[in-house]
Amino acid sequence: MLGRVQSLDVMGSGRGLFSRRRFFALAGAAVAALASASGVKPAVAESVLAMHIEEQTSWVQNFNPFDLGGRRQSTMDFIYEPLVIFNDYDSGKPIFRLATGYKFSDDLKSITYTLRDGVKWSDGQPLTSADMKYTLDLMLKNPAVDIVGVGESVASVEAPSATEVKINLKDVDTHFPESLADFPVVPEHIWKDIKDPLAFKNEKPIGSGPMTEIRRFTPQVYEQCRNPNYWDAADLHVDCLKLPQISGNDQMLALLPQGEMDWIGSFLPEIDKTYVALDKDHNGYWQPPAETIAYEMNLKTDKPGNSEAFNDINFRHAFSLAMDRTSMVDIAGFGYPVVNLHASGLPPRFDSWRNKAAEGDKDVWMTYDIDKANKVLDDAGYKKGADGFRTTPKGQPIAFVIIVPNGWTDWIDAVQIATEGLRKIGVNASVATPEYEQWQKQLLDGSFDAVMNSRPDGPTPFRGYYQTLSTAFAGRIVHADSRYSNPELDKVFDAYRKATTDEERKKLFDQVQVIIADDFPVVPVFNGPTWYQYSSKRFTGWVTKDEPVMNPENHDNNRMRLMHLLRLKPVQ
Amino acid sequence: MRFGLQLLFRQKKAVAGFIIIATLALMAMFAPILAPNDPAARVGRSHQPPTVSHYFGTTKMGRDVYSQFVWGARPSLAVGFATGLAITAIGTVIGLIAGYFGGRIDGTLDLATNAVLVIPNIPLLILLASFAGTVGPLAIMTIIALTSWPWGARMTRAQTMALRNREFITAARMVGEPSWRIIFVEILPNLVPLIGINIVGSIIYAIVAQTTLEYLGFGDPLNVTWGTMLYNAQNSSAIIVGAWWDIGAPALGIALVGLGLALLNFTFDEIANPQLRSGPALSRWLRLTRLRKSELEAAR
Amino acid sequence: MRIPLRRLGVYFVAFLFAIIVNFTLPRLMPGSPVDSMIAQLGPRATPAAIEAIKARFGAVQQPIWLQFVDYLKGLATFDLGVSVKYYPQTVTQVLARSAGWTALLVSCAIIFSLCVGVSLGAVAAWRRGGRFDAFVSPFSVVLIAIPPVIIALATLFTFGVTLRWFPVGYAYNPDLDPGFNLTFLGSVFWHAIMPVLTLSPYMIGEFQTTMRSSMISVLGEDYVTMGRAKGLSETAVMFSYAARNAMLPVLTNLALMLGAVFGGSIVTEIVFNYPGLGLTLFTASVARDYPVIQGQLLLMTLATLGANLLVDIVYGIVDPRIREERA
Repeated sequence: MLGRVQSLDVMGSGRGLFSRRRFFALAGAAVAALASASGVKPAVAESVLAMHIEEQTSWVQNFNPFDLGGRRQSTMDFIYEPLVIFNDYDSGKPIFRLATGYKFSDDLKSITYTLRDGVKWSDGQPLTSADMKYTLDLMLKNPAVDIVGVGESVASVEAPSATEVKINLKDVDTHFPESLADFPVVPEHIWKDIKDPLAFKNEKPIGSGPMTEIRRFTPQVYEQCRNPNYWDAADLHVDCLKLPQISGNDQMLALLPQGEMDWIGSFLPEIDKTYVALDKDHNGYWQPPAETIAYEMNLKTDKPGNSEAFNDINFRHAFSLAMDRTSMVDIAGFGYPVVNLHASGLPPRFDSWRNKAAEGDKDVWMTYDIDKANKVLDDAGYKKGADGFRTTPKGQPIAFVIIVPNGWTDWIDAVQIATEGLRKIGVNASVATPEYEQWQKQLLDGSFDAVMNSRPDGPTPFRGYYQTLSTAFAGRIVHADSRYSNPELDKVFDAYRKATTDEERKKLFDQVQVIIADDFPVVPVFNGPTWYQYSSKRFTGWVTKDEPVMNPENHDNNRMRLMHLLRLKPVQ
Repeated sequence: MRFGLQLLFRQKKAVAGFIIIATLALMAMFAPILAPNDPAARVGRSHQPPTVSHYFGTTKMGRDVYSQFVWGARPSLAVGFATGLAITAIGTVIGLIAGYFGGRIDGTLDLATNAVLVIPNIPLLILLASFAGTVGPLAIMTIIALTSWPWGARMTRAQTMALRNREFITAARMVGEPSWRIIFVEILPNLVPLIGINIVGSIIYAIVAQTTLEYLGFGDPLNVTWGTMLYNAQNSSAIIVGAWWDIGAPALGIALVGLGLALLNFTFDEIANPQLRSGPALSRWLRLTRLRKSELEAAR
Repeated sequence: MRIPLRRLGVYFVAFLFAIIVNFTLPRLMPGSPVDSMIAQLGPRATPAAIEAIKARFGAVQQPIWLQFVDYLKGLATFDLGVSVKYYPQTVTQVLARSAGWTALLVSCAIIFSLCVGVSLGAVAAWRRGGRFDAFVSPFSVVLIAIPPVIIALATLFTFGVTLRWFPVGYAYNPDLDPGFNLTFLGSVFWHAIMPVLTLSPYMIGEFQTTMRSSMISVLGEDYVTMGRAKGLSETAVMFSYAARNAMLPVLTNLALMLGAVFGGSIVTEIVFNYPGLGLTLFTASVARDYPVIQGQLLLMTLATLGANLLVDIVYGIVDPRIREERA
């Protein structure tokens, strides 16, 4: 109880809502008097970092790393340390954590990971290769918890020694370590007794990361504190993470004036006014462009008119010319995204992978030019009917709906800007806002016409392209919705998966960019922002735009957040 | 009836209410003249404060709030009024049938009425709306109408039962008039003030329910209504970024309709229950009770 | 206690109706819990995981009547299924953690509004035609007609964001531990003020209106006249005779209003991020967590039914006429 009071005190400095403070002044004084009377000396103040990483209306104690939808977003990295982290801001260079290295066999059919010596679970038991083998086997046996897709690539797992794990692959895939980036190693001695690993809530997790102890958990706030056995304790200067429940932007905005948050991953409209101005000396943000957002047409649609148009590159070029990207960014996105003017759609963060041969002339379709779009369609034989809408060269009507999940207001606004442009060039496009699960269902079953969707990136640009545009993934995951299939591209992807050197990969990825820019399967429009705001009032060491060494976001899709946490130091 | 209308217009409150509603209705009707621009067109920068060219400023998307306000009145009022009428129609018919026929018919209908009455309306609406996904105006109308008729049915039933045994009804029955004729020609006209209250109350309810549903995001966000304007403004954090006009305009519209209808309803209520009357009719009523009191005392 | 059998019949039918609606709707509508479950996994779901979830939670192939029997069995044991959003928590768990907060809000708002509304109504009826009546009575009707959304937003932005008098979220200061002590209870009270004030206007309006009209008709009744004739003071007549009897319609109204009050609490809890049933219902409906939505409707129906039953009982105690009948 006393520890709790102290932590309240630490957090309480500079707390807003003066009336609440006034209300509690008496009670607080009473508690303090009690504490001093009993002769308890205040311990060294803990450094508690308040962060916001997910919007929920109530916290539910669930730290099961295999429950993608239900796990608290602080489960990965902070409780389950990754094997290797690839820094996409540093050409995908590996940072070794639980593993100290990995090595492919000469035939590339197996890979051996070496685990760090002396790593302990938070309960003091040693973390060994048996744990990693157990976790992989669990996923192979139970596809419902196979959150990284090892079932597709792994044939079997062996543990030749306490620090070595040998994974036998079904196929040559030099890209495999990257696919294991989101892989959590769980302790066998805990999980072997769990009957249903998907339904297990793991309320008191035993983990390998820096913040494993759940000290306090209420529906309104939880605190996750230092792992007493953390192997990298020397680099850890934060004692606890405190995660208050926040249900949405509005609530966040209303709470910000209290100045209690340290590391935020929110969408804050007019951020200079709503956040920075509150405390100019300490509040900062850096929202570098992230994954590419593109318009994707269902190339396998069963509507004949739409199918003919979508599969015609002229139509796709005209589509792109009708996109008012600047307005989408400035108006729909509050100016936070960045327009993407490359036919290849390569995100700016992968600039080091950029192939100049895939740009220049190939990017002429990426400007907003209604006249040129009209000309392209006229030349290609898309005639305007009496209603002002064009038909295909074969005379079929074109009419399609772009779907956006209901509630994603900035995306809905962006799609409305897109349809305005399309209607200007005589294309009968409209917007529909199905519920998210209906939206997702339509993308998976192929009943939609067109969609604005993002392309999640891995540590290198390969994963994003491979999983959205290869025949192997077409229609199987939400992001491969265009159902694009190009044997030539598949061949390059295949070669990339078998490539062993970085130069080789680079060369192959150059080809990927050229093929995509030429064939133009999807219409890239902009790159969404990274959500990162910080306050240097209580902690220093924040990644800023002056020192852009890593993705600064604290969301669950960014493994580098662990390294970010290890940089932070409390202000003395 | 004439007595009622006269009375209505003798009341300042009723006149004020009527003027508010009529103005808003006229505004909705003449939307193409009052706001010739497409309310969905982007006409300026994000969140511009009110100026001469944009009387109510612009939304986050740079749309003219004034145009949206004027055009948004159409679906909002149309759905509100149509739903109010539908609720009243269902309630009145069920109440009339139950009250007039009595017996088993009444038993069944009364049971159904009471059963629907105790089921919480708005949660049921949310359940229905979330199953239906995004709901357009027609769906909102249907959902509200089907769950909200019991109030009216109960009032109508009680009133009909009281009327059923009056001499003129008994006489009509003796002459052999068919039941439907007695119900609609003899009884219904006597229920007019009650139906008036019912309609106004139902419209109020429908507008509140519609606003709630749309604010929660169950409406079609591409439809311009006051409810979705509120939803969109809220979603772009209008108030916190200082764009009070974005949220203020639809809120004002909804509040004005509520105010106008409330004033009308208050007067209707007084017409239907002369007892409740304050103002001109009150002194007469007081005189009557005083008379009654002295009679009672005399009798003792 | 004498409650007419007929009333019990009504409650039974209403309960049955709610059960049937709850059972039928999900089976009529497009979209299934499996779709929501997969959507819940988010974009990172692998094809293998999607297939596995489908196989695990996929369509139940069972005759409809058997499904109904299972459903009834579940109800009888308070097993309302498993939440989609908060999987693997059960619906009962999800509802249990929020029901208390809504009960607190709603009951505080009811007590507060009853006091205010009934007094306003009684005074307005007693002085009907006066300046007080001429202002308060129409104003009450206006209060009923303004959607709670607008009141909630206005309150939040005036007192929460601009003036910063009251906290803008949570049911109590998150730094405190729940416990039976002054600090905690004070925090709960402090956090409930704005939501309660938002919920109240509608009820105050309803209570004032009902009280006024019922009081006016009671004032004309014989026993009031008798009371006066007996030489009792005006206040005594007003409170012990008139107001007491005029309360009955107010109570009936209260029980029937509960549905609307729950409706208002949804919006209020969302706006103030208050962890009650309304916020849970909203989250569930956004995530299409059908089992939770259904459980919620059932719970709210039961609450309304319970309130009606309670009113029937209170009616018997308060109304002297019913008492006399029985004697």
